[in-house]
Amino acid sequence: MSDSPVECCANNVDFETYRELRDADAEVSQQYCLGRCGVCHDGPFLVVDGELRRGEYTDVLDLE
Amino acid sequence: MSEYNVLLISIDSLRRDFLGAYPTPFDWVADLDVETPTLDAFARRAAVFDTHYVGSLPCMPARREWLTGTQKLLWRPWGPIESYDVTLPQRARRADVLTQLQTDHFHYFQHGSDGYYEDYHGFEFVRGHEDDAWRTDPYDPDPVLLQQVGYDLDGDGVPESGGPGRDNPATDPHNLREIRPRWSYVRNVSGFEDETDFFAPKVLSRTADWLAANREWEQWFCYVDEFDVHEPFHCPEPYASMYTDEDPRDPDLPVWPYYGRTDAGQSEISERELDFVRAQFAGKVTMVDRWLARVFDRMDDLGLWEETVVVVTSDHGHFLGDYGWMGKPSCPDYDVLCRTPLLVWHPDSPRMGERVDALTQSIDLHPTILDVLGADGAAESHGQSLLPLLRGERETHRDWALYGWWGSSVNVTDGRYTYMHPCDPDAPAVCYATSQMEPWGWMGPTSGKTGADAGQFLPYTDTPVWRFEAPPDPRLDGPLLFDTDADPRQTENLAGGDEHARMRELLVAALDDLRAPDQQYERLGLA
Repeated sequence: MSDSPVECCANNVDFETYRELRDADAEVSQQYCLGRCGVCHDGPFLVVDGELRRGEYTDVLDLE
Repeated sequence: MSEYNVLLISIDSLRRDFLGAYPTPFDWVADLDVETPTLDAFARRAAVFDTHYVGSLPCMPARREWLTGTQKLLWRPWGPIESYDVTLPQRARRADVLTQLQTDHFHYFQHGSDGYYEDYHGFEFVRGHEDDAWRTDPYDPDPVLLQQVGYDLDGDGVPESGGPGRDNPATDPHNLREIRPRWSYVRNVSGFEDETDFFAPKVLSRTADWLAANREWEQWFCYVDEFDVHEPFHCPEPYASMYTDEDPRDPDLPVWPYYGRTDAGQSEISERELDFVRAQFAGKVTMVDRWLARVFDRMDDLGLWEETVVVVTSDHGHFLGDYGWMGKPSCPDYDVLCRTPLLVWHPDSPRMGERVDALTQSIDLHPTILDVLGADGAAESHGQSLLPLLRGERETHRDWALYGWWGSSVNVTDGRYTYMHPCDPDAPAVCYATSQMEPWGWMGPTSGKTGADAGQFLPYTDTPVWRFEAPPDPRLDGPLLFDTDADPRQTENLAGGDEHARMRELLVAALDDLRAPDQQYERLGLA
């Protein structure tokens, strides 16, 4: 498991996106649920250093 | 027909090492010295199973095992009772047994959990636990508790004004977009004054009343599904202050920590906060124990012990900072989570007052209860009845227990060694189900699975099911193997050593016995 403070939710990705995140330069740790179900149902998000960030993964990760 | 009633009591998330009847390998648990006099006394008169393991995790998968005898982790995750399932209360009805459910387990009434309560003759549901979609008032709920369940109120104790489109629902207790808002709990408990208002006291006292009111029925099966000690770890007094000197109303102290790592990310937690969470968990354990005495005292009054089999168990444990984890996160499935309490009272068993070393598993409760009730279906179960053990006819029970989460690594134990086997993180998880359930967003609205195909894919039914892919939840970077006799804390990884090949073979034998799908062998590298 990663020490990265970037977290994603298994429910928030399809298999292809999951693979892309695994291959991304930024180390992303996955949980099966991050307890952010409303946001998760609305669209893509990550939790970066404990803070919720909405948006496409590539955009959010480019900010880092 | 059998002459026995069955009282099945599951106490959600109950770590067995918090009970006086079980040892703990953790100093911090021993230091808490948690009071559980009711369960300790029950353990002294019952059979205490020392090597009992979960099967399918977490909450609803465990209940499907208990109620239908299907060990589902190889095929599908949390989800509804299937069309081909025959539930335990259905089978009990056919044996002319009265069936009753007493619960505060709100998951029964969410997406993804239908079929679990409908077959009882009666059920009583105490509203309001966790994020049960119950109360929407008051508009401005308790700001202290809002902060303790995770809302960031900028430290001024005043909720921010809400409205559609706010970016982060964790700062806004008026956010209406969240599917499972934590503000539900805060509003649900608004006006609670003392312990009699809380969940376990209500469920267990009403169970005692149900026993008295239904004394005339010839035979019954009563399932008490108590959601405490599940989070939020919000306790009334005296339990809130029983194991801590902190002010339980300090808004800086959490009662509902996020799942995950304790040292990073949104679940990062300070030592002070962790100590408080542990104390509140302990307080809940003692609260449940004290109110369980209401049930057992009523059984004394009614003279029910000689005609009733009583089973006390849990669906899983809960990490409270152990190994650096909180909750039931995506992490290795250590015994903290997976080795659960099982106490069984049987009025005619020669094993009462003894400890049972044999390896047993949660799914074994399904055929056991059917056998006790005189109902059919035990032969179709993935489990094995515990009655031969309880009758003293056998000392051993099963060679392996397979356990874990769908779509993840898979674990097996022989009762001494626990072997955690990783899955290929680049291979998809495959879900087999009669509905297009959500493989990970279990409790949320469903969405169409356009890539699904259908067919007769299951070895235990001819019913066609959908088959669709989802991301896996790998959990492990490599295999983990522990000798739980020599190393009950599971700290020394023996993978690669003398026992590795044997435990790997045992895993294959378990998969073979359960007729696992070919894809499981492939994703586990065991093809």
